[in-house]
Amino acid sequence: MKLRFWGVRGFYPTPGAEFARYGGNTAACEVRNAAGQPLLVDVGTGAVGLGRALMGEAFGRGAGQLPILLTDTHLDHTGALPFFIPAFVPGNRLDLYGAAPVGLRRVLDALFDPHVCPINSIDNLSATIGIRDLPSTPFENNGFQIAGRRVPHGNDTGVGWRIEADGKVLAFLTAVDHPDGPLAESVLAIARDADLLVHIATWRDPGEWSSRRGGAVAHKALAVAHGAKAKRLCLSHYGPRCTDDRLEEMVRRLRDVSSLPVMASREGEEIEL
Amino acid sequence: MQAVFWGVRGSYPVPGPETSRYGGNTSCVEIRTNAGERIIVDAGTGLVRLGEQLVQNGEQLGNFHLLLSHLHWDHIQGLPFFAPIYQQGTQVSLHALRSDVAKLPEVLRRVARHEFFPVSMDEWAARLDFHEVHAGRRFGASAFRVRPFRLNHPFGAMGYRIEADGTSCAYVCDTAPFFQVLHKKHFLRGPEPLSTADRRALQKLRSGLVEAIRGCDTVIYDTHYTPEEYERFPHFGHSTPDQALQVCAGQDVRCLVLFHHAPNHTDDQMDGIAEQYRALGAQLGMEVVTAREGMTLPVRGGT
Repeated sequence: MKLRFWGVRGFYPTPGAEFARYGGNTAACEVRNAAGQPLLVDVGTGAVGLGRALMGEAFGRGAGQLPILLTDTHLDHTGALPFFIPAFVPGNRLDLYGAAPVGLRRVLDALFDPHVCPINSIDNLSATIGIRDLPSTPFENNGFQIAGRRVPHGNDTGVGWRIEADGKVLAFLTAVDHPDGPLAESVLAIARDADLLVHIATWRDPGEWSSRRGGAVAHKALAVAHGAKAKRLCLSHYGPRCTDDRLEEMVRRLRDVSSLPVMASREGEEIEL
Repeated sequence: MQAVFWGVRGSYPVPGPETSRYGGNTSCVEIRTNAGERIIVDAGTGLVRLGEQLVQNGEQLGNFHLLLSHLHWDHIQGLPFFAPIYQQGTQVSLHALRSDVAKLPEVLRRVARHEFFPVSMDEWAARLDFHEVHAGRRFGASAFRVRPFRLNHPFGAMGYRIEADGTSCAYVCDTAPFFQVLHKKHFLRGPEPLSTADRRALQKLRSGLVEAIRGCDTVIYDTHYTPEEYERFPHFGHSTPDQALQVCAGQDVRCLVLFHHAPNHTDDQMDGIAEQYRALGAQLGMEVVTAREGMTLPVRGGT
């Protein structure tokens, strides 16, 4: 199994020189199994570039299949869906999985509402779109074994995903807050013995809006990785105030205290499990 | 007056090395009087940068007016991340099309339900009040006089002519041209045949726009597409620089600003567009400027 990050930023995209090395696009990670079958985690603005690249494959002739796992319904995880080109090719199949108190369908209807989106309705996408509220049991799609769990997040829309293929385990916890006290059982279950844990890491300036809410800080990511005995930790979904320099400082601090390999996800980078 | 461009891009933000010179943030323009009063037009991700700058300078916005052309995500996505709305004492007067004003609280309640943004509107310290705008019905907003006019865009969009300091600046975004497609309240898979009434409606939209921008010192125009791109997507609700020039030519417009650049346009492409239309504008006696993020453009009156 290998993965490629197309967007690593959280909250909103951050164009600008201070974000150029790691990239300013919001969350999108392409995952491939050994057979080359794709899966996408999140549809932030990074997914636009992936969509273009996929058109060179089966998706360009309407024969592509793509499971899409949403770790959250916020725009930084869903907002590029109206600009994801494979969704406009008849014959392609996209299966969206996520969680929301009102149901994923209603959130996607609101995302495509004619007042806010020129596509007017998700039903105007030409591909076949499957919309699935978080399944309560593990499932298979496109050669991947997938399990999702709701994890603590301010909005009840945060989902942790555990993705297995080729005997490897990839865990995604990119929309999670860790309340004080012991780590949630759901969080540990998702990350348990994972070959790679991708975990949210925000940077907070005192007083800024994200100090109120907006995901876990980096040292909590390390606590989860250790608690769940994950083999490697990859940070992602950085806060918009987390410049490249701050990010590298954050990783340095974690490496100083960690016995695990720690890395920072970077736009365009491929990681082999 | 001067216009400060905080976001110049259409559709969605495009960070990256290929867009770093013209900028990747979506639509947001700040208009300032010489005395420093402000009006903000559209709340794309460029608005976030404006908020950061204000915080950095220790400036409080106090009461301010925000004009929205319409509610498409690229024109509102920055609002929940705009630092001043978390400051006590901020009062936002939001001006938008009647149907958008009706819809805005619902969109913002979605924000409150946390489906699309991490911070609830309930946590905003700012007070918001909503104002309907109507085509041709002028209103005052601090030191500015504002004249709204209708544009040709799916579900409707409003343009604004803004006057202060004896100068005038118009914001014409988003809009399709006025000959091939009439945007109404349904999804277009492609151009649809125009009825006689449709043609009349298009003519009326165009003449309303021309009347509103006549004699304007600076016109900021949705020139999303190149002519070749427009041929492929005439039903997407955006114009080209050529169409902007046609609308402004002969109307005593001094400066045309190309704006709302397509997300796929690289800096090198934009350089080509900027030079081509600068030269074409010069032939017509019009200054043509291509908007870049961070640019401050003086709005100069006639001599």
